[in-house]
Amino acid sequence: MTTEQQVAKQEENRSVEGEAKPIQRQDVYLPATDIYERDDAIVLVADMPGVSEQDVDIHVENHVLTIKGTTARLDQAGDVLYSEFLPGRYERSFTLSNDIDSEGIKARMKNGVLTLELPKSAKARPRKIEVAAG
Amino acid sequence: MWPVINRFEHQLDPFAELNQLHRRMNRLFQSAMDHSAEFPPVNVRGTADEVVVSAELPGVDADKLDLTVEGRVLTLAGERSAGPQDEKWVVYRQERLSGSFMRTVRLPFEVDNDRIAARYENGILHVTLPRSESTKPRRIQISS
Repeated sequence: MTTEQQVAKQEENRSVEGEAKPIQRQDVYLPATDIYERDDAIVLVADMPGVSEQDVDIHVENHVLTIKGTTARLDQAGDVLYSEFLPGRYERSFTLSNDIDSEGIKARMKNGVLTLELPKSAKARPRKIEVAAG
Repeated sequence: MWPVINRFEHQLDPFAELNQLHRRMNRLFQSAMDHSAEFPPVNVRGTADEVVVSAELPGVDADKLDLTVEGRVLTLAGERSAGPQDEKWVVYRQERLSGSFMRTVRLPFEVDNDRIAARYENGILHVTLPRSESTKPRRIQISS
């Protein structure tokens, strides 16, 4: 099967698997993200205010890491007097290099900030080479 | 006939809604590109008896938030620390804002300073400010 056919097949499967959901108008935001590199890992920090740890969805597929989050509904009491932010969804994807060990990804959600630790595979980590005497 | 009580002054301003739309459009265009939009973004909701100010403040230490009310102005101030501060770390992308911030919000009425409550949840700060009793509208009984 060619790659194109595979992609078409995947899309087909997806459309069959996907359950029907009521259509909802919702804004999708791009979370502001910091990316750092450490000796042993890449660290990704994303702002997702209003998202609790239960409402975060992280998955890796074909070297693409996707983070998603849905904000809790805002308190509906009272009239809106002034508004600069709205509830909605956060979504962003990142392409991972082959050096990342996707099995070992660790995620932590605290105060609306998602921190992901993407460990480098053993062969991609810097190594010190001992010089044998003699 | 004039309404007896206008709950909030801004409702008298015919341009309030237009201004708000204008700000929202600006925010929409700015948010992705640069950070000149005011930080933190706030929402204000209210009833005749209380007003709730919410601010998007992800990753802020609640102890380092400084909330003050002076007259009818609420001030939110604090500091957001940058990511890991290790020289050995390589920074590839830095989109999250860091540093100190201050924002003032004008309240629709005088509030009872002793009953202000603040809650920090999932990176959003909610401040509930009850209206002070002395400024609440009172119904005056007419004696016959």
